[in-house]
This record gives sequence, structure tokens and C-alpha cells, in this order.
Amino acid sequence: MRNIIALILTAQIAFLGACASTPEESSEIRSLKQEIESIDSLEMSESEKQYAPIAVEEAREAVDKLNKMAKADADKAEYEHQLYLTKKKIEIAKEMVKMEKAEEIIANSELRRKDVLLSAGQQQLKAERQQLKEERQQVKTLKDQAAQMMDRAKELQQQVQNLKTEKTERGLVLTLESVLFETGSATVQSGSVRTLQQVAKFLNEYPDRDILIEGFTDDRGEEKYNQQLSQQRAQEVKRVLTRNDVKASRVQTEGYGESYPVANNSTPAGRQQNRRVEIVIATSNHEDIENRTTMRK
Amino acid sequence: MSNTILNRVAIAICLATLVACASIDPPTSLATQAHESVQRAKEMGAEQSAPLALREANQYLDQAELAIQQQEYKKAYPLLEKSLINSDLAISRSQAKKSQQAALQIEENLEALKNQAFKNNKADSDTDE
Repeated sequence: MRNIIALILTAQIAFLGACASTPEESSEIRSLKQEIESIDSLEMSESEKQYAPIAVEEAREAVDKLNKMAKADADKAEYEHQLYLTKKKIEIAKEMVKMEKAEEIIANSELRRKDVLLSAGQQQLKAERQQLKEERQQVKTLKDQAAQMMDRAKELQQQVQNLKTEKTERGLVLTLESVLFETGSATVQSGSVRTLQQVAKFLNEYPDRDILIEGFTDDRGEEKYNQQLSQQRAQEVKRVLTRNDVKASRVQTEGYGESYPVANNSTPAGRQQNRRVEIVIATSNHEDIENRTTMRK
Repeated sequence: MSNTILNRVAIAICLATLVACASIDPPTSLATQAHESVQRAKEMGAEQSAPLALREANQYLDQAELAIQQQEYKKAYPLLEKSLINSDLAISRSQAKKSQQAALQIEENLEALKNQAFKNNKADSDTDE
């Protein structure tokens, strides 16, 4: 009797062991659960999830269903099916996130394009302003230089005799009266060499300025003769200046004879005024002096 | 066991079988859905953009159709679900690829614009002298 009871009891324990839910899960279920944990985060960051909330929600619901099935010890086939679907839903959610991220770039593109153009425009504007500023500065500098030269010329005028200075469109004009030369001659009088030396010194304070020496006569005598004389006088003045260290390449000469009188030739005073040499100094470095024949005068 | 118990058990088993058979309908609407979904995936270019997902969708669909033919409806449902989820994936993957390509093009255009715009600025400032 005891043997039969023992046999029945053993059978019952075995039976119970097979059917009832055991605290020890099978390794298959355990590995499936581990998979669930790893996919719980849906394999994307929180910020990424924002891009496709609907798809993310569907994936999350699938994960929840899976967890419930695990707790309720559902049928293994159903469990695996749900796991398959869940994994796929996570993939779908990821693709939706990718798509939405790309769409965001597309949506922003117009704004970014305008931003680039605006930036480039601003940069150009800035460059142009800078350039303008520099140009203004240059103009100011030139003006200051011109004013300074004028002041120096006035000083020179004070220092030497027979010299007049004037600012004109063509440049600074030093007018040398004809007492520099003996009558009818192109030789500079010894007394006037000193004057020309002072002028040379002044000219060398502005070594990069071009110089034009123009000779004039009164209307007494033959026109052709006067033309030649005025030319010779201009060249003579150049010779004296270059002998006093003025660079020859800076200096040009012209003779205008009786043309361009500055006073009435009918009076002796007037004629004296017309007998002159003018030295034109360019207003800025390396700029050409405008030819008086092409100018309105 | 007595005859009555055996009889009752037999009847119970038969009833259970009947109930089990009667409760599964053929998954016709789900099958139609699955067909349409595969079609849509193809139209979205899944053959190029998501070939693996599309292939799986088709394979499960074929298996499901076979099961339906053999009236194994209980087997067919999960197969159809698997087909559907794969064609959904194929569709979203294709859409994502399309958008990504468009975005890439835009980035390239933007880069080219930047180069052009700022190169022009530099050229201007270089030629002014």
C-alpha cells in the first residue's frame, strides 16, 4: 500500500512540475526578455523620438504588449510573433525619424539660403564701407598735404623776392618775374640764382610731384622770336633747378611766347608782368599736370 | 473509468473541436490589405530602396496564401501580419531614403551657394585697387 502511495505522490510531483509555472524560466524566455530590455529604449535618443511621435508610440505599445505577455507567461509562439512585430515596429519608427529629420532640413532650406545671401551681402557691405572709409581718408590726406604745401609756398614767397604763389586747378603755380633774366636773354642773372636755389629746395620737399616750367613774353618784338625766347628761358630755369638737385625726370618745359598774357601789354607795368616764368607743381604725387592748351582759360 | 465519463469526455472533445474550427474566419480582408500594401511598397520604389523588407513581405504573403488555400486560417493570420509589417517597413524605408536624398541635394546646393557668394565678395575686394 505504502509503495502505491509513494508512486502516486511521485507521479503527482512530476505532473505538477511539468504543468505549473515554475519560478525558473526556460533559457529561451529569459533571452527573449533580455531582448525586450534592450529594445525598451527603442534604440533611439529622446530627442530623436520627438520627430515621429506616432510611430514611436506604436512601437512603445508593442513593447508594452510584449512585457505583459512575458508576465502572463503567454504561449511561446504568440510571444515570438509579438517580438517579431515589435522589432519591426521599432525599425519603422527609426525610418520615420530619419525621414522627418530630412524633411526638417528641406523645410529650413529656404531660410538658410536667405541667411547665406544676407551674410554675404552684409560682408560685402562691410567691405565697401571700409573701402569708402579708406578712400575718404586718402582724400583727407591729400587735402592736408595740399594745404601744407600751400603754407610752405607762402613762406617761400615771404623769403624770396620776385616770386608769387597761387593755387590753381592745375596745381600750385610759382610765378617768377622776368627780372630773373637780362633783357632779351635767356641767361639767369647772378642775383636771381639765389631765388632759384630757394625754389629748388622747396621743390625737393615734395620729391614725387611733377613739375612744369612755362615761359612767357610780352608782345614786343617778333612772335617767332618771342616763342623761342620763352622756350629757352623755361629750359634755362630747368637747368638751374636740376643743378640744384631737382630731378630732371620730374621737370618738363614749355614756351608760349606772347600767348596767355596776364596783364595789358600796352603799359610798361603790364608788359613787365607778362614777361614771366611759371612753375606748376602737381597737386599730388605722380599725377600729371594738365596742359594749359587743352584747358579753358 | 465508467462509460458515462468516457462519453462525456468524448463529447466535450468534439464540441471543443467544433468551437475551435468555427471561430476562425478566413482572413480575406487582411489578405487584401497585405496585397495592397505590397503593391504600394513597389510603387514607392521599394524594389530599389528596401529590397529586403519587400522580399520578406512577399515571402510571408505567399506562405499565407498557401495556408489559406489549405484552410489553415489560424496559421494564415500571423503570416499576413508579418507580411504587412514588412511592407510597412519597406514603405517607410523608401520614403526615408527619398527625403534623405532630397535633403542631401539641398545641403550640396547650400554649400555651393556659400562658396559662390563668399567667393564673389573676395573677388571684388581683390580687384579693387
